[in-house]
Amino acid sequence: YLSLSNMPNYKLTYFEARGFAEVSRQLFHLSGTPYVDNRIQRERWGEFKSMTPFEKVPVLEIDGKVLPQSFAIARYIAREFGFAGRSNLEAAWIDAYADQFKDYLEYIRPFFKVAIGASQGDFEQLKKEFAEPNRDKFFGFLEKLAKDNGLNGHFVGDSLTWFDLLIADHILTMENFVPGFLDAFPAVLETREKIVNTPKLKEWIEKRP
Amino acid sequence: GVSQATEEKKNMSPVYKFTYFHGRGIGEVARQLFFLSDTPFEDVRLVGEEWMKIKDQSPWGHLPWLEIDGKVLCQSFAIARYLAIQFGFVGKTPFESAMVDALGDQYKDYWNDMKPFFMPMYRQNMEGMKEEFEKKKKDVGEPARDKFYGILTKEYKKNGSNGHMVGDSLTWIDLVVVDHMGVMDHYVPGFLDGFEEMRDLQKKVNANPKLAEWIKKRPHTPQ
Repeated sequence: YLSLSNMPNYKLTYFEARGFAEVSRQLFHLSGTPYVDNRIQRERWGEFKSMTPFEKVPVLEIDGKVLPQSFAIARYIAREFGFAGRSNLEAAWIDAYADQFKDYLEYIRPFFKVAIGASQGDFEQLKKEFAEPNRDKFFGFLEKLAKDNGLNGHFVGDSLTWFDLLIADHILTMENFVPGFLDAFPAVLETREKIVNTPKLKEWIEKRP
Repeated sequence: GVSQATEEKKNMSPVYKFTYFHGRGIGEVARQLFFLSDTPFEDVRLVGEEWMKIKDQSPWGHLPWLEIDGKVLCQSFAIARYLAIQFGFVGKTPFESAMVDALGDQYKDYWNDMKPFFMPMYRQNMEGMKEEFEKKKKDVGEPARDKFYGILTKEYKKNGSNGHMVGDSLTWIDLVVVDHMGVMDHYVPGFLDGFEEMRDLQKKVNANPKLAEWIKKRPHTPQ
């Protein structure tokens, strides 16, 4: 194994799932950067929990230094490898939309927890009460963003960014729970199609565990 | 000559306009970054019904927002990070900046945990609110506090208890944490007692001369 002396050693630790680590895995793959894709079984989480700085995964080890929090990790890798827009202001807009996305995830949480089987509840009722109104608000905003950006296959600027990856992966997850969930947002869906057809990403999606 | 260079710099400097409520909240860190870096900015503070009147025409429907030469940026931490990068309050390496971001994200998680406690906390002195306040403090506030400030304490010690959460320079997360401690000290005196390392951070950050100057001259609000 020939080690590139200037390149740090990366190890990403998360569960055996896409979840909050998938965007970072995609960024490593898109940039051709070697990394250890460390997947731990949920049943073994207790063993590892106290070894992480914030008692959460994912964590990214960079030459042994440990970085927690999925968005901090994604932003770090994105900025290193050129997936954070073409200017500081574009990078900031991406940060802002990602924070907006996080707020949306928080609002749909009661539905999401039931959808993934983490709690009990009325799927249909929670979908109507939490998922649909918040989807309409957030994806309504993204629909406009995609159109204002010229339907060029990106939500911000003219280059693939970690926000594009975040949204495309989330759409996949939601469509698994609710087929047709985003049918009312054609510009968003068109943008998603272009994102997932990026050659290196398409390759990863086909071969990933 | 010097005056020409100054003129050129003035012409190159962006025009900043920051709009938020008349309060500190999640907007304060941006104001502090402007002041600490001696960067002029328009400090727009909306009072009473002013926000509700303009909400629907506002860029994203929530506050704060920052205009940079007329271009709009929203989301308090995206704004804080952008300004901190411009003015040098993000640590000295990409890893340090990322660690600051991670602590910011953890702060937001803490904020979400604390949400059910905040309203009773602000209203604790209103008629009949005392019992709800005490209950939420015990059930919500204290566990959230212990989790978050436990993490901060661990990180602060790991960083050498040097007056900064990350590295050896003032970063935007230092400002966020210490301002929030001030809010909790005001509404729930004693809430943070026992977190000695956090008191050390608070003392050292508040001793920054320019920050101390801002704290003295800014409009006084409880939060």
